[in-house]
Amino acid sequence: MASFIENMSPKEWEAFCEIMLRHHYGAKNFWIVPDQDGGDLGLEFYTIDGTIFQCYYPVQGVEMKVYKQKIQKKIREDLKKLKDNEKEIAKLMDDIVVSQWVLLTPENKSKDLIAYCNKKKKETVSENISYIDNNDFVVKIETAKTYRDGMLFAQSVYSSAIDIPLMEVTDEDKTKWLSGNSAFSNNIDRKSNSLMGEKSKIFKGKVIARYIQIDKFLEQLRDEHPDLYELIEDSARAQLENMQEAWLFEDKIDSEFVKGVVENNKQAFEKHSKFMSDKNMQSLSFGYLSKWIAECYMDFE
Amino acid sequence: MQDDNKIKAVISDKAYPVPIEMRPLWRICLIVTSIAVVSGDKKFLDSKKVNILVWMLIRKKRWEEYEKYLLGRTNDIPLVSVDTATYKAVEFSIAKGFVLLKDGRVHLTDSGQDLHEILVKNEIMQDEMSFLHQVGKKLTGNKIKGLTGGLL
Repeated sequence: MASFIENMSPKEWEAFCEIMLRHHYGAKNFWIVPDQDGGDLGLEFYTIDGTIFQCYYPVQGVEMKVYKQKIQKKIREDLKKLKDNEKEIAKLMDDIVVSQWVLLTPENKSKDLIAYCNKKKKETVSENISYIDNNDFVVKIETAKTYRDGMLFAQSVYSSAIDIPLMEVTDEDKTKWLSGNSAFSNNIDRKSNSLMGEKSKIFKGKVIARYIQIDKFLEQLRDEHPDLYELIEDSARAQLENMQEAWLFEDKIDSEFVKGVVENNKQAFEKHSKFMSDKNMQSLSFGYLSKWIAECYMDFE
Repeated sequence: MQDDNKIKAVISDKAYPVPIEMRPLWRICLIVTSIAVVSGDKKFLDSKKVNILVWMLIRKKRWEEYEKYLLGRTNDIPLVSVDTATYKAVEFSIAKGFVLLKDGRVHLTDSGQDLHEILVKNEIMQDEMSFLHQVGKKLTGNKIKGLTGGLL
């Protein structure tokens, strides 16, 4: 399974598949079946070439037996709807003859499921459904890799889905924060003087603003996307560990050192760029530096 | 600025604080309590129901929003997403013998029941238990379908 897909929710998977298939088939050849008015008749999408799609994101962390049962249940129940809703589906299909029914799932973990699809194909054909091509009809499990062009497109579109608005930090916010966080404030004050000399006032203001901003940002990320939050925190911890040794090779500890830390952070967080907007990504590099300075993970003596 | 030669960087290796909801024992207790309170005499819950209940329990500030949805007072569907820490906590709970995983359901063992009783006796997680008593049973199959798009 592509790492991008590993952390999706079922809803996100469905949205991802829609973007992917719409791109792959082109808008003219692709239909989505809305479910807000009496359900979707057991169809998620269908296409001009006679393919019906259903999406399924199975629950993670279950044993193989349960995994297979869940996939089989999904296939069984949805294929049954093709006959149950025959007349209504035929109206949607118009002149399209269905030759393929596809379950789109992040990965197929078992060959037994291919055999199960073949068995269900025969059963479906035996139902003699008016809009199905009995000679060519197949039931398949596919993953996003089958539609590689669409998958790459959907990844690039979807990556902007996580775009948490960054807090605009005002002078009033800074003053309020300073009055309630004297220890952190003192840390920033002392370290800004050590590092930036005459520029320390501007630097201090920036560190405080970024600290407040990233604190709010991480709080929201933790609440809404806990898995991504953990990945980001892991990267930050790894980055800090790297620096424990890397600073030994620095000739000078000054503004250039700070610049280097921000640049290294940027590279360290880059691998998560597919999950979030550029703006959110940019906030991490200086944001974590601010956190380390304020919370004393990075000190100077 | 100080003389460059006189300052050196010190990168601390002090521990990072782990948020309470990320602590395994806390999450194990939430899993055990969800099953004990919501399942009644059956002593088991569907694994997706456990996941959603734990998601809700650790987001106290959103309880009002969840309550409205579960009681059918709003059509706005609250955000519920994947949280692999709960899957891991279920695995820890199995390893510790508090629950069993069978047919996609999480079953409470006698040890799990004992753990829940310790929590009750010591008045731990009272707010969470109250939330579960109030709306836990309202998390029906249809509500789960609404929250997950019917894809779980």
